[in-house]
Amino acid sequence: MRSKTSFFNRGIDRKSLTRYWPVWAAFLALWLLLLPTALTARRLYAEESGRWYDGVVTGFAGAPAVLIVFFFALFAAMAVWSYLFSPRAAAFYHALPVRRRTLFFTQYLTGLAFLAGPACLTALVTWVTELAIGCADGGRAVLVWLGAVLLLSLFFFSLATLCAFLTGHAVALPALYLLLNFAVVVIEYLVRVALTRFLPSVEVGSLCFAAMSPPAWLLSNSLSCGGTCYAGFPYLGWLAFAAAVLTVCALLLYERRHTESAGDVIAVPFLRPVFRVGAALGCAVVLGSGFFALLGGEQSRPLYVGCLLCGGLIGYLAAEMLLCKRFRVLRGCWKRLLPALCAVLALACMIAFDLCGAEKWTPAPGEVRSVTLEDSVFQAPDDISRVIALHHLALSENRRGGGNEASIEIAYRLRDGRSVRRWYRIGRAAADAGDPQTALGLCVEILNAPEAVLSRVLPRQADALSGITVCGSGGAERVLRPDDWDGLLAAVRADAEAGRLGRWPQPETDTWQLRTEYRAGGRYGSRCVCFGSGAAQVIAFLKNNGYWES
Amino acid sequence: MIEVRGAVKRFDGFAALDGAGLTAEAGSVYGLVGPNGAGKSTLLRVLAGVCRPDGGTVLLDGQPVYENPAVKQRVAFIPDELYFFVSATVADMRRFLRSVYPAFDDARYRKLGAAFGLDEHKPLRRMSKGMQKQAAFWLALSLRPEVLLLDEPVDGLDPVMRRQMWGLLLTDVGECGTTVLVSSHNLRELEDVCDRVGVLHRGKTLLERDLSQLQDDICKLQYVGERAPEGLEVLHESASGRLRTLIVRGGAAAASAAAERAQPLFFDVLPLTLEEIFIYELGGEHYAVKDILL
Repeated sequence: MRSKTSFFNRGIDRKSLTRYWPVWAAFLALWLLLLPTALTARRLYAEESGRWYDGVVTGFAGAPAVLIVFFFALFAAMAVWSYLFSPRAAAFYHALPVRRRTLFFTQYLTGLAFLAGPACLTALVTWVTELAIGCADGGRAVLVWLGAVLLLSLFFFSLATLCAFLTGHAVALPALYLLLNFAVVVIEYLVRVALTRFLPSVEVGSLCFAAMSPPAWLLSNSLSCGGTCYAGFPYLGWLAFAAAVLTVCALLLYERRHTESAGDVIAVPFLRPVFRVGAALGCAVVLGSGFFALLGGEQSRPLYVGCLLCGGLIGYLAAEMLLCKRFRVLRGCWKRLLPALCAVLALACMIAFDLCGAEKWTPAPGEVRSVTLEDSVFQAPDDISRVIALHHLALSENRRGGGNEASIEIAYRLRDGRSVRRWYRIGRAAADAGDPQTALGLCVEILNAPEAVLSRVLPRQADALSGITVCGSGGAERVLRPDDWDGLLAAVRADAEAGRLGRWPQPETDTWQLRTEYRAGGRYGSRCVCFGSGAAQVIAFLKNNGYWES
Repeated sequence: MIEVRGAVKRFDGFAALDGAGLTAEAGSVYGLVGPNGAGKSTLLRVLAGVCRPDGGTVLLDGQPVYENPAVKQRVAFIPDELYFFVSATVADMRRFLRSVYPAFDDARYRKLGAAFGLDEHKPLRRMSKGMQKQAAFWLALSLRPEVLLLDEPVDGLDPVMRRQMWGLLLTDVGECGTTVLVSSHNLRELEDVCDRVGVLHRGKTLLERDLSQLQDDICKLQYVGERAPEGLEVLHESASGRLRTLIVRGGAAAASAAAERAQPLFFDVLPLTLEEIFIYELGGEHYAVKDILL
């Protein structure tokens, strides 16, 4: 006769709560110290509005919550799943008359309660404290903080739980947890640094996969924006969804887990080859980049490939040693090692020799929504085609050092939402400037067109102008009155059409600057063009309105 | 009744159990013997529901054990390597087990406490290995199990405590009909308590018989004479001076008859101890102790 299905066992739950009380007690103590105590202390020394205190409470939902929950979720998971890592404990727990599913949900909910319980209690105490010291503003900020902490707890604890079921070792759990949280951004960053070393036209730029590293994303984005405003909930919602997926994966792994995997670094047999190759590729990038930097290889591609192979070899052997729990592994694993090293070699060649063609890539005109060339934005199909033609010419010149060069930056916004940015060096011989068959000549033609110059003064996407400043060569600045903005812009247009202002490349005689500040799509931006004594209309306008002294 | 048929359990490709089987009647004591690495502990862990068998059937009263709490509630398992919570006392363990096993018997716990004489408030980690084993028995017997699975149960116990432990177990078997499945290397001890014995070797069951039947099926024939007795299945032969010793398969009567036909100067038929049976049965399986005894 089978027993009734139960998803929770109070006896095991109570035991875990009493056995690992230091985890939840420390979490509670830390938050009580940070929130109610900090609020009371601030109240003693400052007389601020309720909104100010709300800002303080919501502020704790940002970086402090991410850091504290990140570590305590790991501690909670290490506590409640610790029985998986000892063969004796695993045998004891699995001999108990409870199903694995019951054991899983009991321990999962207990671990979550380690974080959620103290968070709820802290929220209550904080709210009562706010009422007591008279700085309450409806308790909304406390709810925002609580929501953020609960969602963060859910995600980080679920991730740590999955790590517990992927590993069978108490040290491997935190190692994998840190790896899964940060490996993507670290590896992407190092690959991008290597790409810029060998492919100067490719930018390091912002990381594409930053959102794959929740702590890095949460810490690098300002989530608290004053009062009860907290911008992190959409992302935390996604994390909550991810937590549900991670939990289901962990449960499925648990139902198939071999008890005897306690003590193994990787508890899931089919993930062991993945671990080996992953370690080889990860160490290839991380250690290989380190070796390359130590050896000061600058732009030596063979040396870089060699360094990555060394890193990959070390990574693979280290993974094999961890899996086999012995140091002498080479004899038994060299056949498996070769494909892994081939993968590392492919990765290294891809980075060093641009096998993916990142540097040589140019878009088709139809793919491009807009393109920015040296601060001038072009959206018309003809203009886009000319910039792409310039891109082709820049690639064919392929300048790298040697002097007398100009640097151009081309940034595409593609129709599929991607942004691609490239830098190139092109020849700067005076004879080329008038020849549109050369990169310099075409660039001069594109950038010195009046509309291009005007877009460098005030971009088309600007919603409103918010300031104009004229800077003299000696550093003197004159801020224009708003009444004069339209007049100056008319003078700028006249000079731009006559080719007397904002010329590219900048003539040495253009020593004065015209700086505009504007608002576009809720953000502020600024632009700057140079002009010299030839910009007659602008100078005349400035003189007539008292901004020009000599 | 415990019934295992064709149980298979593999660890990373190595078959710890490779078609093992056993049948233990309710209210009997079943001895599981075999050399190191034979799969005894694995079989007990499979029976306790700790491991999922990769093949075969493992049934307790016709019900599968793995992931079946109703069956596991009736089973108590004392492994070779004991586990207690860190810093836990016997009283702490009792509280926990009482919350998980509905059949936990407090009255029996108190009664056994007097018999064992252990301090229930002393941390278990401060106790000796033997005392920890006693504590494990104390707690396991308090569960009022219908099936008791014991892996090397009396290791670390002094002779007096061993005797007391077996006494308690046999009382349970007699009074409550508890089925005991015990694995041990101490064959002399099993010989005194087991009703039935199974020999495991390399994950397979070599033989499984009632102890009395097992002892009737093999005997030791010693004789002094010129002619060797004929028509016997000789498992092992040795000589010490003029005295020759044969380990033969079959009953004592058949061995005596064969010896008489050879007209020796002297002969005697002796029963084998369980330890000797174990060694000679495994000798045929290339077990390395073939020539150690006699």
